[in-house]
Amino acid sequence: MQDVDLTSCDREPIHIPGSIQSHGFLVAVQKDTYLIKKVSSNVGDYIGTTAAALIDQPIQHLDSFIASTVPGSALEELLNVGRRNQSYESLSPQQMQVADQDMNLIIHASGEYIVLEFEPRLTWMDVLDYQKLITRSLQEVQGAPTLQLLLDRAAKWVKSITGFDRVMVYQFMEDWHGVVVAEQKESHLEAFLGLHYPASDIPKQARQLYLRNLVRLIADVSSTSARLYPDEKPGSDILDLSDSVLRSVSPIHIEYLKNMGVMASMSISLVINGKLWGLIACHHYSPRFVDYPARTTARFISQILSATLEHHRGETDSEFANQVLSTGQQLLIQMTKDWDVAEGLVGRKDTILQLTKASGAALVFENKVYLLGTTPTEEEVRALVKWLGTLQVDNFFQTDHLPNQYSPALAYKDKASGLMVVGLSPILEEYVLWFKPEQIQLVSWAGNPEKSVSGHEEDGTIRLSPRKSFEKWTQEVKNTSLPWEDVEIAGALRLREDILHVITRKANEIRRLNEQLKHAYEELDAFSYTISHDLRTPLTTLKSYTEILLEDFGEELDEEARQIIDRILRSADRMGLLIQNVLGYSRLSRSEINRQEIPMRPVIDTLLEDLRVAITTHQPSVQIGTTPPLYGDPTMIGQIFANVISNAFKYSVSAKEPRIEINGKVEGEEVIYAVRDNGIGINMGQASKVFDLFKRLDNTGSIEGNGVGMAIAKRIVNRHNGRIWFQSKEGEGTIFYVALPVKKPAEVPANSN
Amino acid sequence: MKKVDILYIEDNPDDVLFFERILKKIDDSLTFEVAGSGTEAISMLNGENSESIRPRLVLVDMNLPGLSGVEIVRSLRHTQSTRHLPLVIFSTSDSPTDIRSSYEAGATGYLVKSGSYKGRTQQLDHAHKFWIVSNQYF
Repeated sequence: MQDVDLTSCDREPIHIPGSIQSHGFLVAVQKDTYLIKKVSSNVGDYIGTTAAALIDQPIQHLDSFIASTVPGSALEELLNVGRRNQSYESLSPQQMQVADQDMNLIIHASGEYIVLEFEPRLTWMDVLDYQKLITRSLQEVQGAPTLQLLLDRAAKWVKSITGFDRVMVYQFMEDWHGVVVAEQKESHLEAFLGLHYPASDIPKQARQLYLRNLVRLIADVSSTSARLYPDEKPGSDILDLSDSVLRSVSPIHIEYLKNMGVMASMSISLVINGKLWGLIACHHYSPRFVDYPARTTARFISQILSATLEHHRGETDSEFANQVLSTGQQLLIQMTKDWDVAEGLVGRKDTILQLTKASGAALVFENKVYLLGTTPTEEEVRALVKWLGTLQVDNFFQTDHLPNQYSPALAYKDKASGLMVVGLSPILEEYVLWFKPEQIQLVSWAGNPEKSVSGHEEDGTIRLSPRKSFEKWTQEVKNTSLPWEDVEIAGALRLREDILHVITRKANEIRRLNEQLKHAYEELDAFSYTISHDLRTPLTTLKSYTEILLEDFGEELDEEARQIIDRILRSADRMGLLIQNVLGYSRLSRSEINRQEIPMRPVIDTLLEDLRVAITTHQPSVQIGTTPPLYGDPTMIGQIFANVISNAFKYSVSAKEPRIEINGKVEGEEVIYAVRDNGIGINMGQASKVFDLFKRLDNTGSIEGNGVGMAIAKRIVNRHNGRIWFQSKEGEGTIFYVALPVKKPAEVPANSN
Repeated sequence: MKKVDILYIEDNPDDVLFFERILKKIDDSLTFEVAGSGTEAISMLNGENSESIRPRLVLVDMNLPGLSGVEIVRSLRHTQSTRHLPLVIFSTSDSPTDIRSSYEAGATGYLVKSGSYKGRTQQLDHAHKFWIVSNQYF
């Protein structure tokens, strides 16, 4: 047996069958000439003529067989009225007396033709009854408090209007397979409620037709259909029967119904927002004809149902919806409290987990993964996020069968068969994810869905036939979670908006604080500059007077007094130096950097010369290695080296043979200088204090210094986008490193002109 | 017109005292005038209330009440009668900005006041040797 694709059914041209059901007859006239062009071959069963005899006759010819119940209105006049109104719909049905039978005439236009269809009129209910029925059903259907009750009542009313043995509400799922969601039936019948039907049961072109043609009736599956006369051949002038009420049914569908034991069926489309939501499907176990007014009434109830369904969709579970809403609000409050998004979402009383019915949630934010509830591991979540990136779903993604789409999820399907994701920043791989565990579902199919159609060869061609057995067939559905509800999806999307809003506001807040901080910083700088400057003048005066005292009156003082005056002078000097340094430090932030290439050897040599003059306690040996040029402000770079080298000089005093090594090298994008001494060293426990302003370390007590030098060096290095650090061991010595970026080729020095 | 060796524009009495003391030590015969502000100095140079003075060197402090040192230099450079005077800023500030703006305004020199009496004595001695002893004046 060849493989038969279910889509074979999708290709059957059901809108042009070339035949009609034989419970009525059809006459088609050319739309301008009103000449009869097509007649159903069963016309002789109703009137005393044949199809062949009618062809090419004017429409008036029919009047001799047919009498309108409204006297004097011939068919031609009727057609003229329709043509003037550009619609025949409002004319239907016309009550006619055909031979001795009461019939309804239904007229519609189709291409070049106007189609007249005659079908039986039943008189078991009159128009007033229908109106009462409609009013009552309207009240009942619209007043239904729950979705289930709404569907049940609609089915009940359709059943009472049409008299079918079984009326079902059949809902299409996302993959177009159907589920019976409500049912009203004669008590002796087996229930179909909850059964699933494969998508191929109602193929695509049938669904398209259902959107156009809201009501279809099959009055008797056992009756033979009546072909149109003359025979329609492919390529000839075929009559499109899409809008026909008598259109015959696909033999496959007839066989399908027969296999189910159904003798008559009717279906009414449920359309929401232009999309086929489902059907009201009616079955009867003996032939059953429902006339035009009853069908119209049933259609009307279906339309009310459709409209009400649309309204019902948002409010299925209002308690849960309220929980989602209040959790969302609480999360927003938590996030705004201290502008910590992650803390607000996962670290407080309410978390993202409460926002949905998920059993696990994850936040991937600022390169951290936060897990709540039952989730895959952090590594698995990170891998999942990578996969999401490849999907290019920017804002939202959800599935209830993740393992089928992303096979690594098979390993944790018990935690995450369902996944819902909102993207915060797909570029930064920032997401909020929710997980639902696998829910092994038992789905009851009306017959084995994998055998919904069988193909067998007949005369060398493959013939399709629907399944014979509709025996309840239970399937275990794996890798699937409960679906994500509309309320959950809406809550997730709302949360996304809130998070993005908070992130934006947080960024603004940080910018504002930064401005404030910068301002305060500048003020502090200005303050320290002013105060240092103002301190300097009285200090100078103090010192000068003391000097005068010593110089001009020294001879009148005894030795002890002179020593005291000497101490005053030395204190004044120390204070002067301190003020000088603080001034230099605060000036650093305001002065411009005048970058140029600095040959370092002369700078180092000059510094060493000055130090040898200034420091007389010891004379360390100095080794100078390679000295590649630095790129920066000459004055500032000079200050760095003055501080670093003078420290090496001063602190090497403790060594037996004081030694300093200075060496520079180019490494990649930066020049790194190392200044090594064999002095007292630095306790690494206090390492963080070295570059702090006014901080001096424990073991420096006897050595002159004020705790500003390295702070200045650090500040300069920072302004040059460089790095400064050190390695040290107490008692063995220290190596200070200064790394500055090399000159970029594209960069033109400010003073190049 | 009264000729003096130095006009010192300075508002701080301590600095004035040091100046007088140092000058006396350098050369007892040196003549000088002191102005407490820019306005006073300008009026002395123009002889508004008394005979105008003609100094061989003007030392100008930077931070003064009213006109600043730089503004005094600018103003004197814009006046015909004082345009030629050697104007030397004598200030505690060693800020490059101050130094540059002084020269831009037309200062002849810039001395950073030493923080010590000894240092200041040396500075004024140098200034005396250069501007008064060595420098040709008309």
